[in-house]
Amino acid sequence: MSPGNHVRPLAEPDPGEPVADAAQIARLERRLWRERCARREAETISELVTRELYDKQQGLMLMEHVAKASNEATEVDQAIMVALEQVCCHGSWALAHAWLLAGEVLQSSELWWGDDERFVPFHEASRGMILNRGEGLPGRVMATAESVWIDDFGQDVSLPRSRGARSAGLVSALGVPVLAGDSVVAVLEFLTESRLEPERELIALVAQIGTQLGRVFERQNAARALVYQATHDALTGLPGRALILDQLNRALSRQRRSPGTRAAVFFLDLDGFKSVNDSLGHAAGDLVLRDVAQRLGGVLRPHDTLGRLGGDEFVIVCEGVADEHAIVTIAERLRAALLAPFKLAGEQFLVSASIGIALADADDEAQRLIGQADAAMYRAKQLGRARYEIFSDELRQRIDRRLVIEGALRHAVARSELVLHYQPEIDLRTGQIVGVEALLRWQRPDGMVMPDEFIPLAEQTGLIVSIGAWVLDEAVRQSRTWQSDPAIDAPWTAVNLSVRQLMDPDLKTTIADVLGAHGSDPAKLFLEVTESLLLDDADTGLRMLSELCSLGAQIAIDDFGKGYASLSYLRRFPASLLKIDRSFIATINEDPRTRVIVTAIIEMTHALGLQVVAEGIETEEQLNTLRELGCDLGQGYYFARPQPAAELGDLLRRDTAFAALACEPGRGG
Amino acid sequence: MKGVVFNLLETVVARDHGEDVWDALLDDTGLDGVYTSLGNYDDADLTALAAAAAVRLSVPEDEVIRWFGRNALPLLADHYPQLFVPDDDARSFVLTLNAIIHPEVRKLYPGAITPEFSFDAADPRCLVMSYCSPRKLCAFAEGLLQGTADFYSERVDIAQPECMNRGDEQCRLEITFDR
Repeated sequence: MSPGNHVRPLAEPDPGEPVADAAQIARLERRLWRERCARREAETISELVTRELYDKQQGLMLMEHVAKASNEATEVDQAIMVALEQVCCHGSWALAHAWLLAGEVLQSSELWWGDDERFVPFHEASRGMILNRGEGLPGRVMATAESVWIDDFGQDVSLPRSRGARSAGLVSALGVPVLAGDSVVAVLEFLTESRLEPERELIALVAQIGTQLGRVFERQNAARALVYQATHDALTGLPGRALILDQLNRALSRQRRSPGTRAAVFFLDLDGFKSVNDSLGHAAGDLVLRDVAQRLGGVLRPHDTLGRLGGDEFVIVCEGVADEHAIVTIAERLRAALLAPFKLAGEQFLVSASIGIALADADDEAQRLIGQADAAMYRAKQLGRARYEIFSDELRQRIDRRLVIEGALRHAVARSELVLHYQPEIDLRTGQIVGVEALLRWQRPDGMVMPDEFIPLAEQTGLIVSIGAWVLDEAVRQSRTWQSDPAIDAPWTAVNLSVRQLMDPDLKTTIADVLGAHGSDPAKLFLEVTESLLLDDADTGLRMLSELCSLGAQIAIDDFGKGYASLSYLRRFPASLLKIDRSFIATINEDPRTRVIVTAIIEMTHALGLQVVAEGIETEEQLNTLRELGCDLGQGYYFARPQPAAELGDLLRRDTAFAALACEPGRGG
Repeated sequence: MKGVVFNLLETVVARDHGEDVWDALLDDTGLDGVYTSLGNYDDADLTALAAAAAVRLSVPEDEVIRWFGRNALPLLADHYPQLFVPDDDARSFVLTLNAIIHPEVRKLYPGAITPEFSFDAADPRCLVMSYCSPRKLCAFAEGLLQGTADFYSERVDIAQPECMNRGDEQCRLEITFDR
């Protein structure tokens, strides 16, 4: 403001002007007084407005600081500390502190600002304190979800820390809620060293900061929820594979730091869960899984970790396991937890589990330990389910051998190590070789591997698909060779089909292609399946068998009576041949009851219009008995061992090899 | 210099010596006398007015400034009662200058340049206050200290062993309040 803006009147009156009278002077003085008062009033208003503006500006700067910190904060604690500091610097607060929600209560945090020696009594009074809704200043804030002002903390004996406040010289206090949505997730409290009157603007400003911080909580909660979803199984809420591995790794490093007790992994797989899913639907299966998760969780110790790997596989990580005895206790508890029937849709089901257990060694790593528990679980399944197995050196050797075999098996087809041997099937009335069963042999450089050892492995690894295709092709090719040999009355060739093959929708095309490629008579192809093939998905299996029949191929039921024979399936089987399992033949002359059963099977099979083959005939006595009972065909060492195609070809050319049967007296039929 | 200081000066001059004297001082200095509390005015205006007053009233210039300070304080107390806690004493009031009074002044008068004082309060009787400002208005500070003692009904003795006006680097005021 410069004096140049104003036109200054002359100091002395113009002599030409008439001299003012007393009344005029009085009027002018009143006018001057009015002007002066108006100016002062205007100044006072300006000062007030300036002050308000200043406060608003400071408030905005405070909000800006806190907003910036909130946006940058990755942890809620950081944002809270900035807010406590900024609010203290803004106002005349001497001390600030945050309370965090823990479940249903508020817990005194380690977040303080104004950490002065003078305030130690208040610190001490607050440390570790837990307040319920409505209790103390923070509790009152929580109950109302609104700011609470306290004129004199030390005088209000209803406050749990009033003595601490008095000793620390703290007087007025403000508590504000940190709101995430509608819920109080934290409470901030600010205290002064002198009595302060509540100031509406200030309280509103600090409340706004509470809201700002609430967004950080919301963001952190959302981030945590995402992490939780990513690491937990949605169905059961249990940790998933990644989290289990993480927990196990932590457990293993703790074990390395303090040896003495060990970590153990339990790998649990439900028995027959697939049939629950198949017969009742996936929704029912999910209910069972949830129930199982809950039951297992109920018998574990607080620090054990239960997780679900997917499907019906659960993993439990236990720490501080002293010895195998402790393991057995836990395994028994897990088993017992599943004993009670599961109720679904008004019906009751029994669900058992096979459990594999691996105890950690000092240098074990998580992935391998879970693999060992998995292997032990698999062993428990093999040994009859509903039991537990502990991973051992013996099991380790078995697995090592399996791994070696598995590796070699992958190359067996390419290296032409697989061969088919053939065993004749003989008409017990005429002695004629009517069929041959193709049997897979694996000729490794260091010796022959028996099918029992590698077929299950091929099934587990999926190699059975390519091996099965090779077997079909080779068997049909060989069959075609015999068909075109004028010296041979060509028998049928029987090939075993696995579950994997039967469930392959392309099987029919594959077989048709193979028959076409070699120009072989479909009627000369017998496909052998075991009844157990139909256990998992009978409808699909039976449909596929019917389609194979439509190609002109024939079906044989293999190993009859050995497994879970179901007469109702037998009725629907489009088979023309039934093979009685070798175990019956072995004792047919020793055990009268076996003989009764075999008699019944033969009569029943004939009544259904099927022919019967007895497998595993080794003695003449067995042969005679079977002939007496009217068995149609026989197969076994008594006649011939499985042999290479060339040798069998020789046998076929000597079509009188078993001709003696035709004239033997006393034969049945 | 904020206009409020000139307003205070006008008030005390008019009150103790009449409005004509204030007009005369303006005539003497050639200033137009248009001062509003929130405005900013040249520091030299105050010095010129004090010099003119010293001539008219035949007292040393320092004495004029000291008198102004002492008489301005009750007006300030009138205007900003929240800053003057009646329970306090003069010494503790003076000690709040940096922490409370001046921040408040800056809120009311944005851009106001307030002096920084440094205190040595080790001696419970004698408070040592150092003042360093290009305005060299230690006499005004002295007057305000007198006025503060008056407000709290105390007596005060102020010695100034160092003074910028005497060529020292800073002014050093040794203040002894007596209840």
